[in-house]
Order: sequence, then C-alpha cells, then structure tokens
Amino acid sequence: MSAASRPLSPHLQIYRPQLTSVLSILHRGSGIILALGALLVAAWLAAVAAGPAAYLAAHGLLNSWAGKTLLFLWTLCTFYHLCNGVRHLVWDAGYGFGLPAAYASGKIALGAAVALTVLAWLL
Amino acid sequence: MNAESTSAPPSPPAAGAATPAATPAANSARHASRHWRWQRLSALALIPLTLWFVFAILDAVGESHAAALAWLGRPGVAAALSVYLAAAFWHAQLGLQVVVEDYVAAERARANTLLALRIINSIAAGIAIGAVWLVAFAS
Repeated sequence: MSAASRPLSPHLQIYRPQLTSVLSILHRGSGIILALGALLVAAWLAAVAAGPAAYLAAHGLLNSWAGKTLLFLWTLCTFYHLCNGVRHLVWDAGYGFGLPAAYASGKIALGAAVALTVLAWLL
Repeated sequence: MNAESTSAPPSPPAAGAATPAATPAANSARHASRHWRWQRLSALALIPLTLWFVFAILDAVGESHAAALAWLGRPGVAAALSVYLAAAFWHAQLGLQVVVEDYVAAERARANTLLALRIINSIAAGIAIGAVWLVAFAS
C-alpha cells in the first residue's frame, strides 16, 4: 500500500458514534455555522445603517418562513456552542474529565441549549 | 524563588547559540499558547454578551427601521454590540483557523485559506462595527 492510500487516524468510519464524540463534532459544526451567521449579522447591521429600503429588504427576508427557520437554527447553534463551550472551559480548568462526568455534562449542555432556545423563542 | 537566583545575574548566552525563544519551534509554541489563551478569553467574554445578544437581536429583527435605529442609538447598546462583535469575529477567526489547520493538509492551500479567512473576518467585523458606530453617532 502506498503512503498516500493508507487509512488516516482516527479511523472515524469504524467507531460507533457516542454522545461524547457526536457533541464534540457538533461543537465544531455549530462554530462554523455561527461564523457564517456572523456575516449575516454584519449584513443586517449594514442594512440598518444603509437606510429604510435596505432595511425593508432584510426585514422581509428575516421575517419570511425561511428566514425564521434560519434564525431558529442559528439560535440553537448559538446556545449549543455557548453551553458546550462552557463545558470546554470547565475541562480547561481541570474538572470533569471522568467518563460519567463527561456524559453528564454533555447531557446538561444539550438540555440547557434546547431550554435557552425555547425560552428565546417564547419570550 | 530563593535569594541566590534573584541576586545572581543571568549568564549571557554563548556566542552563536540560539536562545530558546529565537528558534522557530519555540516561536510556534508561543504562538500556539497565545492562540489558546485568546480563544478562551474571548469565549469567557462571549458568555454574557451572547446571552444578551441573542435575546436582543431576536426582538430587533421583528421591529421597524425606526425602532432598529433607536435601539442602535442607545449608547449602552452600541458599546455592548461593539465589544460583542469584536469578540465574536475574533473568536470565529481563532476557531476557523484551527479547523483549517486540522483539515487542509496541503501547505499552499492552507496558507491561502487562512489568509482568505483573515481578510473576510476583518472586513466583516469592520462593516459590522462601522455600521453600529455610524448609526450610534448619527442619532
């Protein structure tokens, strides 16, 4: 087997997905989505500054069904990345490395993200 | 620290010998630890700012243009938004940088992608913060 065609670590395709690994890649995925979302935030602010016509266009897009769906998913990504980010900061401080703790904190982060999203859309 | 080590002046490095900080590896390690620290500092700042921003922006997008202008015209909002936007775009830049370093193996493509990200995020942050200030100072 040539060096180029050797399988690369960590052999993702042979591992059964676990809560911990799924949450880990979701952190990255949500982060990338939020970086794209930040461009939309910049566009919305630019529309406010540009004047009523630009604002009306942005307002129409954001308040359509597609726009609201996008905003809802953005809210979920934001709160997930926030809650799981706090989980990472706790790890950085040296706590919660045990397997039971990692699973418990994962469930808490996921639950908190959903709860905050529901709260933000009900208020 | 004991008295001996504080009173004794550090011996100068031997001529020609590279000091640890001057080697590429040490610079890279220092760069990496700086990246790590700023990523976490921006994360800490973003905890309260994001909680505020999500609730505030979900309200704001449903409002009229006049209401949006009035909202951005409040000094507290403009200041908080400026800090939020700076931290968020910076945090995004630091995070995306790691993703590119992990997945883009080819050296040239990696360098080009990193440069493109830097340019896009800088421009977007400038537009976003510039727009806030334009509205805030015009009102």
